Amino acid sequence: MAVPCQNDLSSRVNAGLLVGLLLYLGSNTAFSQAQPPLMEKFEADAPRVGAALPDITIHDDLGNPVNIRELGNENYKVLVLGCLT
Amino acid sequence: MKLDYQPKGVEFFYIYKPLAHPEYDNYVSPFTIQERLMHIMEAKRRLGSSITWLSDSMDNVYHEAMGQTPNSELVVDPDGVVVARRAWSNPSELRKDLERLVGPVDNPTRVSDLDLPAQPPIATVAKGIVERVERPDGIMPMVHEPVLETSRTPFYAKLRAEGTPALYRTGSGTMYIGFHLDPLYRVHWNNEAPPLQYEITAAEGVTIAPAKGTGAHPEEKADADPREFLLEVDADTPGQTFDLQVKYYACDDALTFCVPVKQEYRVTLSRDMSHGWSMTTDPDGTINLGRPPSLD
Repeated sequence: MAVPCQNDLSSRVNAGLLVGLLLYLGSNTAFSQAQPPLMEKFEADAPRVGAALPDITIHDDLGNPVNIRELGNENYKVLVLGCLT
Repeated sequence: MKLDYQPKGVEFFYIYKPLAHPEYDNYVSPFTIQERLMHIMEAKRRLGSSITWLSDSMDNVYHEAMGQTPNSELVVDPDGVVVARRAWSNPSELRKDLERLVGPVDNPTRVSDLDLPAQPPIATVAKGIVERVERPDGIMPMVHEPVLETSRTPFYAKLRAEGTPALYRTGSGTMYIGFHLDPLYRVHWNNEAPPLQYEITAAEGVTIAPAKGTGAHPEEKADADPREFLLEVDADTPGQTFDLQVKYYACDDALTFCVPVKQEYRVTLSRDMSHGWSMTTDPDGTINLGRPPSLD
């Protein structure tokens, strides 16, 4: 069964569809009127096309701090967020 | 995608965030950055991917910046400007982005071409020994912080606290607390040792019952089932806090240690939006993924 946040790309497609459905269903609840659904939060909070990456420091896989503006070299980059389950 | 576009100079980063579905495959939410890095190592082991892994900070600054969506995707140009974004990663759309930005590739790699090793989750000692608590419908994760400073050992068993919508809305309702063994430490409950015990200390105006409890103590010598409790909370106002202390014996699967553990948590009667949804597994193995953030 595909579960949202698994990391292989094929399962993430199915997982995205599944969770998207859940989010859609969740958007019809009373709570979502008080707090915006995640899609709306993404629209509002995530950096827009044409904007610079935010000045955010996270960690590399050894725990060293790394600013996302300083990742890699001067190339195109793809940043995907996810987890094990 | 990486195999196709890394030769064209595109760099790929996978940023590890809080678990969307704690308990799935027995994984539990890490408490420290070291534990989150252990999750990344486990992900590398299981998935065999050569992508560059990063870890969000423990206050989830990147996750927050992405509107708390669990699987966002950004494409950034060489000047650090976002040129594509989506709330949910979509490989086919990403490929279109990259074709537009750096050009198409001959013979695009398919997932089936990769032959990635799909490793099983970490094995545990027997599960299914202790009957699971049935959580009320609509229950959702609750804010809780481990008191790392006072613990002399890792949090081998980790608290999962959840509350009903009424509890978050009014201060009164049902609360679930479960102590889940962290499979990354490869430990089990030694049922020849005293069972887990918890004790709650609440401020005036907050009543929680039962304030003390003892976990299951089955005849089986060892098991890995969570120790779970349902409690009733009656607080003057929503969002109040209380302290929780837990004592248990942690014993590793290699039988090299079995130590008494005492740990503390500070729990807030508020919805935790960062640590996934409630999820249960039926006795027949059916997985219930839980619900998105919402209150009835």
